[in-house]
Amino acid sequence: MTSRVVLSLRIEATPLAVFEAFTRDIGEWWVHDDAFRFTPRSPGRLSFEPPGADGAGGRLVETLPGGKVFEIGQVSVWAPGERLVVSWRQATFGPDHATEVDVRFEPVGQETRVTLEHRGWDSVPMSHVARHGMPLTTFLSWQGRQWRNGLEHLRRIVAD
Amino acid sequence: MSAGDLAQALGIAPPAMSRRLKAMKKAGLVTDSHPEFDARIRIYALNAARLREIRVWLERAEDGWSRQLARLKVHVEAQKRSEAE
Repeated sequence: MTSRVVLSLRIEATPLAVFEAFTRDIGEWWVHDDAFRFTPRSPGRLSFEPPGADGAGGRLVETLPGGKVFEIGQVSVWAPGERLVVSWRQATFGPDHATEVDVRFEPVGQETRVTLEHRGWDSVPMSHVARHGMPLTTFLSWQGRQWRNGLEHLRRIVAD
Repeated sequence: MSAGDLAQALGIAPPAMSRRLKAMKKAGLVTDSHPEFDARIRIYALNAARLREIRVWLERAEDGWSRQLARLKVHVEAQKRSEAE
């Protein structure tokens, strides 16, 4: 099981232009939001440090007003005009709570469809079962039903 | 519910159900206990508070990202327009 948020929208520009704006200009378009609070001293300014020529490294950081730099996550996929994957940690997360943001850029006619997936809210210990999983919303709808049925079942057994 | 009951209700093979329950227990999504009459039986219960917590996270993240992506769209399209002028 894994839980995730998936959103998509179209932007009037090429996939490469959107990718570049997403990474290079994040400090300009990112708006401070309590849902994404990275440190107790936030907000600061977000920026991406692209991977080196060998493809290694690359990270997303927040530079706080005092100059301190907080690492939000590390880049694992940096494919300009196609895909960006970065790990994502916030101030309130526990030590083993890791999430990941995966952004895809696809051409649709003259536009680009940006699909953003933020996964892993149920934390790292769950990740190894993700491949067997179902989305959380599906899970939540069955759990209500199945649990009620299950309790009825249990009640009958105990009553007998 | 027992692991067997859950596996049957969901149409999942019992070993897969056990693995999933174990992972859910580790993540704090379920708790297990033994009924007094038989220590071999394990009854699972959902941890509603933990599920609510995750649901709140998901809702906030979805709202947050939709605002951020809308900002990105405005940023890119304004840039494109100013280049065209």
